[in-house]
Amino acid sequence: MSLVAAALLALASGSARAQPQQLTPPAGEPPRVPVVTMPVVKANEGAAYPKRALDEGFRQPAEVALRLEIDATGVVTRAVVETPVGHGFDEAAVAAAQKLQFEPATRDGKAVAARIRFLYRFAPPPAVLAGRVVTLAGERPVAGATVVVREPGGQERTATTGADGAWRMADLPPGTYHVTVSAPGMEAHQADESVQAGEELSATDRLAPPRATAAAPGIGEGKAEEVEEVQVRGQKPPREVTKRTLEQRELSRIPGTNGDALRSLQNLPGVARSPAITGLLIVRGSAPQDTQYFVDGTPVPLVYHFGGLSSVVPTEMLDRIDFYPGNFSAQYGRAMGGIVDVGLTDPKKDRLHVMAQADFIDTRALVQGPLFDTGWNLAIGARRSNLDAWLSPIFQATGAGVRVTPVYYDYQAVLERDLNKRSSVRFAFFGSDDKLDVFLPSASSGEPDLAGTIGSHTGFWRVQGLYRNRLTDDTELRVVGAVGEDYVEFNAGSLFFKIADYPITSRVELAQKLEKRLTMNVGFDVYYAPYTLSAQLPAPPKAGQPPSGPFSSQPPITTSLSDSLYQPAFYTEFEATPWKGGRIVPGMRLDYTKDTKAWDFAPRVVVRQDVAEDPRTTLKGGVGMFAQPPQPQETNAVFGTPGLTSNRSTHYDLGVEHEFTRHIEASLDGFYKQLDNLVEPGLGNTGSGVVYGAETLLRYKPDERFFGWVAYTLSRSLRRTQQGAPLRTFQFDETHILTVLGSYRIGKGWEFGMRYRLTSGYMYTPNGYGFYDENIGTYLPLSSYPPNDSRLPLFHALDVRVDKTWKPYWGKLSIYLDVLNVYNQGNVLGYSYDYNFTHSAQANDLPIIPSIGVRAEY
Amino acid sequence: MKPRRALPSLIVLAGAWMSSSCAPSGFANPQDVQTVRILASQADQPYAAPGATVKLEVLAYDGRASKPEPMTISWLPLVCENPTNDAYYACFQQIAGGGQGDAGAGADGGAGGGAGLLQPGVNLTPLLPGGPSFQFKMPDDVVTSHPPVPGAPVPYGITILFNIACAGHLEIVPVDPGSNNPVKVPLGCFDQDENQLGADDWVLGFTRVYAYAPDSGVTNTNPVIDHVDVEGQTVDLAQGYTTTRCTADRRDSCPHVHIGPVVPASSQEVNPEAKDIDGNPLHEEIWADFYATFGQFTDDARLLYQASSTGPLGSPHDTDDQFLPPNDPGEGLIWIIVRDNRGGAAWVTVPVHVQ
Repeated sequence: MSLVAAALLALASGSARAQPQQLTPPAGEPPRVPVVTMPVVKANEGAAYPKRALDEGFRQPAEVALRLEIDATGVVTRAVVETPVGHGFDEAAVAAAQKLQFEPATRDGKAVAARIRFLYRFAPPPAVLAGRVVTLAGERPVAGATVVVREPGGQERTATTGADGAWRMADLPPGTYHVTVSAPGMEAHQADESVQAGEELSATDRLAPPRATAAAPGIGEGKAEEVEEVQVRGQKPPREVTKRTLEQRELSRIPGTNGDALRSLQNLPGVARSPAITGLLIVRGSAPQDTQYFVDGTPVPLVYHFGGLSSVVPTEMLDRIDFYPGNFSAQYGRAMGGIVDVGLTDPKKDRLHVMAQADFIDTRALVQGPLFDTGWNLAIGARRSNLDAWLSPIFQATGAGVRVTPVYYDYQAVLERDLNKRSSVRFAFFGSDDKLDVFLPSASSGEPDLAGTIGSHTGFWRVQGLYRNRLTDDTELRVVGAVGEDYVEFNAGSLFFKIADYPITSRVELAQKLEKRLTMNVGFDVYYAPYTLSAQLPAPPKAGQPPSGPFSSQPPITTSLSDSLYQPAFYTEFEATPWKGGRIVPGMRLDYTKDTKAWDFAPRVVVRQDVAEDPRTTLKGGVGMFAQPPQPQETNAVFGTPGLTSNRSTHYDLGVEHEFTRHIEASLDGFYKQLDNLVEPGLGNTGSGVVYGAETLLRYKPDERFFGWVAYTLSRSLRRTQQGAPLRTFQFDETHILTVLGSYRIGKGWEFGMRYRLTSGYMYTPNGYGFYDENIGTYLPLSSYPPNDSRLPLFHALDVRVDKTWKPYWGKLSIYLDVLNVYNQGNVLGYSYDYNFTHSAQANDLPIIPSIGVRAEY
Repeated sequence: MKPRRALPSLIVLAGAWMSSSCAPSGFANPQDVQTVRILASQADQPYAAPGATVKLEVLAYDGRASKPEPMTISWLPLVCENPTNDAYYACFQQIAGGGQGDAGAGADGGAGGGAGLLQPGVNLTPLLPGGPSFQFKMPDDVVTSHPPVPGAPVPYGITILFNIACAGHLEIVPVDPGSNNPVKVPLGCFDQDENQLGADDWVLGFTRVYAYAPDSGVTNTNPVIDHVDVEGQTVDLAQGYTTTRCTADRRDSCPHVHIGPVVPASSQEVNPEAKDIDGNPLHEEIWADFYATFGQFTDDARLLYQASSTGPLGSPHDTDDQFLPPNDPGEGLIWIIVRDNRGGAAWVTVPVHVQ
């Protein structure tokens, strides 16, 4: 903002225009040297750093050299830019120069015209940090709050909020500042804010009462009320059309999920109800295998333990869950359904924290805190299932004739350190293991091979390194790499399947702010996995064909091979904000798949436009192409089909978001997915299909008392196995999905929540009286055709959760009761048939299941 | 390798779940033989050589209380050779087209012929081979004409034969021309009044006979039932077993009579086509199915030998079934059918006298 008028001057060549002719001294007299003085600045208003430069994102120092012509009265008669700089600097310099006033140049005491060189130096204006401090509940202004801004060099500046809760701090050099906001009786809040030259950054901080106890308005008798920390800060709009992010309290308190964060995903719009004890994630009518899972950008093979009873990363170790139901960013590939990317939490840095929890499902523990005085922070968690303790006796008591020993466990360790203000490094080790052994002494199921000892062993582990560095104010580097192992073993009788692979994955992403309104993200993403596969199974039936008979009736075929998957990808994406409230994110991704020896090009674009600010209303839309390579077993020479290429999908998305208040928001999304080149067993890339529908979400975001939402999805998912075949309703189609849930803190440590679900039934295939297989001794049904042409009745269920929390001196103790299917609705899971398929009866979904848990935190 | 790993666990867990308490009760008991039933068939050579003559025997029983017409056993005089994908239902395309193969004659005689030449409304029973036995010649080219199966340890061929137990007579049933269902039932059982009979009165059964080249080294023989033990005592199959009726109010309170076949370990052959997950050779899986005209078994079937180990699964008490006598005295039959998972079978019939 200030102009530095540098020293002037160099006398122009020829110096003064008033010099009429060359003077020749008289002979015999020494030559007389004229006395010349240069113009001297009398008045200089300076030149402001041009607004145009700031608008164009130019924030560097600049110099503009002018050639000025000054008449004998000291007035600038002409100003010419020597070398144009642009961004409005030239115009600003000329305009300022024309207001300059000089004492004129003189020659021998007489004023003369002169021409000089004049230099303007423009320095970028300082930054401004400002904000407003309000209460989390009710957003009332907090007057007298102290705001401490710590500069990168460690110096601190302090401001105090006014009656309206506002504060402002000007003349700051560009950089990243650590801002601490505190007020008496409120929980302090800290954040890092990056501000650029000439930029005024404004943030709203919402302070909650202290974590220990705080009198909650409306709670009588002055009793202390637990208030969990909930931080809400303004977020950058997503790079995707639809990004769902659940907050911490929602993750752990949704009824029917047993406090499992990842299971809460199943309550979001676009996600179908999972069949009981499967834990499948069915996103916008896609097959379960079409959705990819990531932990901090590293792909992992599964997200739920068997039965879907709990996820492979416990809630306590999660920092966030990002869920993209479609049209996701170019940084994600090899999937055409949805994306789930969970982030592991950074260890706490203030002191040692300990948590332990046990319920019918599992027992878990978490320890985290600083690692002595090393600067490193560590979190270690582990969990083991408790199912084996009670499931086997139940099976025996009910005469099921099976003896099961299901055990799963998972583990996580995170070691993190801030290298400096701009960079950090983190190492993580996490994994999961599910082992299930069933002994079936009876062989009456029609599948003799599924008798005796049946085993399943599934799991994975990863060692992951994550490096983040904000190289400059405009450049950020993020590198994540991981090595690990995935394994699946299954054996039953003479059949088995065993695969082990050792993935090496890496993602390098560079975000470069090109201009104020344009950021470029460039990334390289590679998946390399040597693997061994061995299997002894019956030949799979072709797509759309009934099986040839029981597994046990067919000679098994075998395969055993070692190979590798190699899937490198490049992607780039631009985030442009060309006008106020607008955001355009074009991107593209190029994937190579070694198995198919083919490249997949996937362009995508997302557009968002705020059409109103307060309350905010945003229109959004997107279109993109997505490719998903075939599975290794699909390209396998024995069990697969030769010559496969990637499955392809095109997503179209159009929607609107509206914020009624700070806590209440609604969204409506319409989507259409075109599916092509789908892999059909035994046929090749002959399949195709469409999925279309609409999702609505009315959500009350968590405050100190309540959170909840109503989500409704209307959709239709259709498939055909090959060209010319009619479109059929897809196996995982669920036309209507309604979820209503809410959780309310009553007071005195009590919290009560409910979830109600109403969804269409699954598709199924009716059976009738057919044939008798004399080799096996079982009847085979005459099944209706095409498969899955009938729908089960509506599903509905109410789940309830009650939490009670105490605050003893050492920490926090809570117990909870999570009851699934409170009114014990006999929802139809499918139909069971008698031995010759002449009679059928409903097989019901899960009955009422209460789960009681205890949790202690230090 | 990609997020598609839950399936094996799900299969196991779902199987356990579906076989547990959620399975509805009230269904007819599969072991209770009260209708027209086919219980088993046996090929004298479960794995036959090309060109060999194979003799089939079927075990069928008419358990109906009322028998307006007697049950007859018929055979489709067609050898379905190497149907598409080895699927039994693909044979009907061959049948509709007149069939192929070299069918022999049943023990009771009867004429061979192509079913494709026949029309609905024609009584087929007199035209078909009848009786519990049937023999055919394994086609000479059955192995060589079978499409190569990637991953199959040994080349093989397959023949499928159909038999019918019908308490009436057989006719061709027109197939809905608009149906694309690859599984069709082209035959029906009709009474004298041309009413099509239901599941209680007829059964359409089929049996697969695999063929391997003699030099392949792949053979299979039927399991052997040495004798039947009841409460540890060998039963004289000619005399049968005598017990007392159950007088308890609840079935669970009835006496539980341990009964089971004694199958020598020599019956559990090595299965050269299968290895375990670590590459070790596997053996046959052998199990026993139990049927009775009255009373009740606690299990429909018991596993005797499993593929991953040699020798019986524990003592006979571990593999025996438990028979609960009926509440009323009378004469009945128990069938114990022992099968291996390569098409081998054997059975015994035990007369039961309930006093």
